Amino acid sequence: MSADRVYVVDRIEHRQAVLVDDQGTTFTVSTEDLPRGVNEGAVLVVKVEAGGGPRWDTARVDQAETARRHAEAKDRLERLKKRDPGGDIAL
Amino acid sequence: MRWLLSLAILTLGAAPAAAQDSAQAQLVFFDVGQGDAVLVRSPEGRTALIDAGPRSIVAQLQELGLDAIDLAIASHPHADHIGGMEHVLRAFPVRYYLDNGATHTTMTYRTLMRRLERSRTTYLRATARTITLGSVTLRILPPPPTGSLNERSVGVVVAFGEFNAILTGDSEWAELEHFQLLGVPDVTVLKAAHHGGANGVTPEWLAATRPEVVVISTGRGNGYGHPHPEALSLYLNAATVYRTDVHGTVTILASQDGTFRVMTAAREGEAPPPHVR
Repeated sequence: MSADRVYVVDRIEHRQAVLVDDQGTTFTVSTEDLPRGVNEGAVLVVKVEAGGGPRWDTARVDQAETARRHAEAKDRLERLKKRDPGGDIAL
Repeated sequence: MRWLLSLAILTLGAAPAAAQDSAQAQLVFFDVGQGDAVLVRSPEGRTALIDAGPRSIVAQLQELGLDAIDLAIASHPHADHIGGMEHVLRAFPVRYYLDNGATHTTMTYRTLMRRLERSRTTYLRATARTITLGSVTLRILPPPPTGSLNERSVGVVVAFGEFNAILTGDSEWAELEHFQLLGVPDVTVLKAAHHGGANGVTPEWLAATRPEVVVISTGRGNGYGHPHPEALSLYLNAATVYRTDVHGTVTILASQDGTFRVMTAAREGEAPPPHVR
């Protein structure tokens, strides 16, 4: 019995990918165990066995969810930018 | 010579928060494990937090007596730099928040930005601007528009009279060149880019900044090989080096004439003496 879980590539350090799940837990995985050419920001769907850990060999990039999350973030950033008064700031 | 004007003292066992007087600025490089979190506090009590480590640093900030943050800066949205930022936004009023404008897809980033949007915090873009914290000024070094998230780290020059410090997140070689083209000053303190990684320093970068002190923020037994031996050798040949993985939290108290003291949280006997030129 297995279930799919989502992990995101937070960064890649010396051929090690640092993955973050949606609860904020980090996992360090060799990039050789992930789909070829995986980049930071990629949303991965990975099978997790009941009572076991993630099976990295089953990882696949969810391109649609990756694009959706980037689009959502860009929209939010554009709204936040409207708060910027511009110029130098004195506190 | 510049270093003759400076006074560097390693105070073992000292409480880092204790000694700031009304004429000094304070830089605190928190021991957050593998990550970055640096507090700048002006003599007037204005505060800037540059990165917030991989997890909550609220208790460490409260231990310093803080009840508000004037400016929070996220150098770039990797989890070892912003993992604790949403906790900061929840625990303290934060007047301004500045980041590099690069989006990420982690829940860590999304939760932070949702919190930011719900708050009254004023968002600032990383343009070439100066942010004044009383008598301390922060000059923002804008990152280049493209590259990896590391290579779009926000740079910050902290100036307090004759005292300068530079922090560049996880910059790698190309971005360090970019900052050199923007113009960087001689500095008293340099935060080693990318946790002391080999790709976070060049001889040219050290020649351009001429630091007296280098602080490497990295975790004990980290699996990434930080700091890299070649980078550490470059730093040791250029400056006095402090490491959060060895010395714990590193606090620097600076005066406007450029003199400074360094205090660490390491217990006596645990930390080797710093390299002194």
